[in-house]
Amino acid sequence: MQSFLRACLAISLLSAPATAADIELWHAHQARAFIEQVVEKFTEETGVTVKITPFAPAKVKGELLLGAASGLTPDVILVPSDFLGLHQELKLTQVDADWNDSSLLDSAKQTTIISERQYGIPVIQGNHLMLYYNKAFVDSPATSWKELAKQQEELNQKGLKAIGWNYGEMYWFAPFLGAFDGWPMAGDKVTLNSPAMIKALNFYKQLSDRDIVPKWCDYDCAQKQFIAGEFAYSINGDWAYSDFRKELGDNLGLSVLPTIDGQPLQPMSSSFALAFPRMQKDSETADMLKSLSLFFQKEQSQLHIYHEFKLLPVNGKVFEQVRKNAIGDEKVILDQLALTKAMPSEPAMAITWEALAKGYKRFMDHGYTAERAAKYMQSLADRELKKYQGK
Amino acid sequence: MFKVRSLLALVIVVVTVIPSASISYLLLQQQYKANDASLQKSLDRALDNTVQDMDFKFSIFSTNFNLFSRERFLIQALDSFLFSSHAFTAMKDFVEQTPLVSSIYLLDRELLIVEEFQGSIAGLEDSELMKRLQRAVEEGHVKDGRQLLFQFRDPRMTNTGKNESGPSEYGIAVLMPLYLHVLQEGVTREVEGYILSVIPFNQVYGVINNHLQEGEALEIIQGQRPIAASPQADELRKQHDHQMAIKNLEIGANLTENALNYTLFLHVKRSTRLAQLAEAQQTLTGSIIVALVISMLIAYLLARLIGRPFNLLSSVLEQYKAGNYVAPTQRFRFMEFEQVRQLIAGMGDTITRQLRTLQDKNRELLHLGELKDDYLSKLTSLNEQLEQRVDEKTKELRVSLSREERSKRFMQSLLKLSIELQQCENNMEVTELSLQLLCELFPDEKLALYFAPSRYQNAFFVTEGIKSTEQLNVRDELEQFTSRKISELPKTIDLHHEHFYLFHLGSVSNQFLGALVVQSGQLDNEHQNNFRLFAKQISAIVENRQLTDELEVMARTDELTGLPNRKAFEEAVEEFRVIHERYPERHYGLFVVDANGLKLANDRYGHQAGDGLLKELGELMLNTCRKSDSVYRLGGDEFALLVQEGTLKGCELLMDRLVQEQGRHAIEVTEEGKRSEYVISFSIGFASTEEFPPNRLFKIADERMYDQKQTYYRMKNLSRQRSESNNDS
Repeated sequence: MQSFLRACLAISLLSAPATAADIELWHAHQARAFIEQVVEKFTEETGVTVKITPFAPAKVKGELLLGAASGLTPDVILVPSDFLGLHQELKLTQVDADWNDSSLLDSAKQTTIISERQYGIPVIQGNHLMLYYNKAFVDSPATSWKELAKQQEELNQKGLKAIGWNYGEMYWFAPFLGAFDGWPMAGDKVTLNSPAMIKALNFYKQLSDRDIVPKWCDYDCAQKQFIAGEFAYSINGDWAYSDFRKELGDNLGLSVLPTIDGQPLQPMSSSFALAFPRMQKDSETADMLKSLSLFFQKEQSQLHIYHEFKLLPVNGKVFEQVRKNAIGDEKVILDQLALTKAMPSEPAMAITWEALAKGYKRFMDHGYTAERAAKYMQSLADRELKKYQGK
Repeated sequence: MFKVRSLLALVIVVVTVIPSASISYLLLQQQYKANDASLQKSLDRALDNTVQDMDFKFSIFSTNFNLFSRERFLIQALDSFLFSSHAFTAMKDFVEQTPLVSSIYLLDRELLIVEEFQGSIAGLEDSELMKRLQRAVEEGHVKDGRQLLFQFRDPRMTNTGKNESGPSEYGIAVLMPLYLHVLQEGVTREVEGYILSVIPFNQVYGVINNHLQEGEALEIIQGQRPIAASPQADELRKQHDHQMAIKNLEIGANLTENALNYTLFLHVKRSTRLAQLAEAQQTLTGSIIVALVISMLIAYLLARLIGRPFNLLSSVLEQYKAGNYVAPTQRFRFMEFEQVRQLIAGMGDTITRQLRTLQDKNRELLHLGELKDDYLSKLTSLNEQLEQRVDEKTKELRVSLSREERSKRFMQSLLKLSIELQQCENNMEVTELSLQLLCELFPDEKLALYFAPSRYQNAFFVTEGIKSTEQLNVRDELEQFTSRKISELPKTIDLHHEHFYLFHLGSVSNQFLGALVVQSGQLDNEHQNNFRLFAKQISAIVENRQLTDELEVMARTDELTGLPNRKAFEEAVEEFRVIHERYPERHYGLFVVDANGLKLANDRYGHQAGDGLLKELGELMLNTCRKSDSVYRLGGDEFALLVQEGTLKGCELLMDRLVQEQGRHAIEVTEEGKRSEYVISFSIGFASTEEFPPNRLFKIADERMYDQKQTYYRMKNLSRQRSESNNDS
């Protein structure tokens, strides 16, 4: 079967125009090199060419939705698993069970299943936030926000800012909600108007009021400015690890996120999955895409991705091997993973994210109290969900 | 009192300048009136331009806003807020590219805010404007493709985005409906939502303000209500030279569903504006000033021509008053002035001649006075020279006398030293006395005196005024000169940056005996000679003392054995006796030792053998007794031994040790060419003060020795007889 597939691919390659790629792949993962390297190997082995288009992470959802609405979609997208909840809007095609590698972790597979149907193939997991710090400025990383606040004064005297992250982005807000026992969704219900949300909003705001984190911080604080030595700490995802290690070398420190009065922050975890908009089953392209999916999942690729980029594998054998041998930063990545909660992949999650962001904006910039903002988020999400379900 | 020429000059200036100044004033008045008219026209024109620019900018906004309302992202965001980020980006771009707009809102059909950029959500939701918007929607005033304008007052909505603060809290909200599709005109359909732009009056004021010049202020008034005003407007209104222009501003008109009307007031301070318009006036004023200056110059030259003769005559009179009788040579143009000039010149000549005669007389008197002064000065100088020579001679005599005095004192000291040194008993006294005298003679010098060690005296080194570290260095240096010839030694030495003069003490054979040391940077010849004389004197005494010491030692030493002789023995016995008398418990002993067979050795082997025997016996006794004991040769074959702590037991022990040495020592002798050994034998007798009084000791010891000698010879004879009988038998 394998050799037959290769023969088919070779024939199709010979008949294809020399300039056009066989497959087009869109993604918004920061560690784009891991995709490029795996794809390059794939091309070497199969002869199938892939055109890769990287998008800005903040824009990719809108671009995909617009593309899908206007019929301009690539063959395959590599997206966080919660995007699969929009399978209807993104026109994603269901995949069969034989697209999964035999060693694929069931937990990873579950992130791609919506209403008992699988809409994507996971290639990496984790995708969770962690606390990075610069050892040139910090001897011992803060384990709580109180400790970080104490270190802030000393860091400011050295002309440094304490910590930076993408402050206005809700993916970074979610761990604080988790620390107060809150979560945006419970099952398929939106749970934004909760006491936990009110506490989390107030706590989050006072961090910028006290200038522990600048209110204007965007993703540059967590990435470029942290590398430039302007910030002592950064909260960023596992996807940033390889870049940080390359830039900061031995000065890079990694730790689990600081606690709030002993309660650990609960970042979201998910997988990054390959998904296939408007795929014609039993087509030549579908064969190539299946081949690409299996290539990403196989042990050799998974090991390469982990060793080079410290992105956690979805291959069960590889993951077990990693878990057993983990030391130093690798162990911290796994420790933080243990404190995460899986990001819901329900269709309603996409709406919940937007409602959360709009309520947050009203709270931070437009004088809403936390109670009013939480109420607004909930009502907005309920209304939009109703509208969505009515379509 | 007036001067004629001043009065004349004043009259000329008045007649020339006043008519010119009057004409100039009239011209300038005319120019001012023309400028006023020009200023008003300029203000009106500026307002016209301002209103036209505002109309133009609003029309651009209105057109863009109309186009923007057809943006697909807005409709998509209203349909699903998953697209709202695209709508947000589009709204952000619109606001950034439209100068008049500060914020924008996307509203759904219930007028709920879906998205906004730089707006105030709470501000709009709670505002009076929102109620008016709702009323307008309900009453059907919002029409397809038409923009509806609302004036509102709410700083929350106007002080955002591009203008943080400004002179106005008013703004214009422009509302436009959004539809899913563009249909043919006249066809009604359901509205999807609304887009609302906010134009704050601060922005409007900013556009208008760009047309204002410095010192101008603007007010935007609606009816009686001020909408926006420059803070300077009120102040300018109160100025006495305030000028104003008025113009109507209509926002909207044909472009929008409704229009908003305002009145613009432009205020200016006339003087400020006129200053800008005054170029022409400045030319005129400049010309007038030039004309006035020329007429004043002419007046001045005329006054100078007439006033000059008066001025000249006046100055001649002033000079005559001061004694200068030179009349002006230049002739006047006017005859009357010329006659006066000639008269004054004649008078001046007469006075000058008389003065010259008086000056000659004075000059002669002065010359005589100078001659007298010169003579007196020479006399004084001669006196001073004489006094100076007398002083110099006196000083020379004093110096010579002082030197003689010093020399005399020195010679006396030298003599005294010579006498006193003779009386010194040892070198220590010599050094101390010499140094004491030297210090008295040379109190300012640092001195040292060194005597080299001799056979009978240790080295001596005494100093005065030299530091201890330097003392050590000097002594070390001098110790190296011992046994050397003086001629080989240096006269000065430098040690650690200090300079020392050395005056050596030498023997007749030029041998180094010591040195007189003077620590000094520089010594004059007289001092050096004096120290040298002292050194010679001390040398003689030291050498003399050494010779005396040597003679004394020789008198108390046995020449053959080098042991102390009988004289030394007798002195020692007396000394022991005196000590024993004072301390009776301190006993001493006396041994008398006599060599056996000395005569035989002399007769048989020669005197050399006898001398050898005595020397060997002396050595034997020295080696056998204690260091504290003393061995003497009393003469011939007789020796004595004085034993300190010589109790009876102590003497017996020494006796035993001496007896043990009997027969153990021999000297080598030669008889008829044959070499053989001659065994040393001696007889001993001793006595201790523990048994006998001191005055009997020698006698007892001598008797005991004699007893033993007799025994020896008896034994020897007996032995010889046995030997002969053995031979006979």
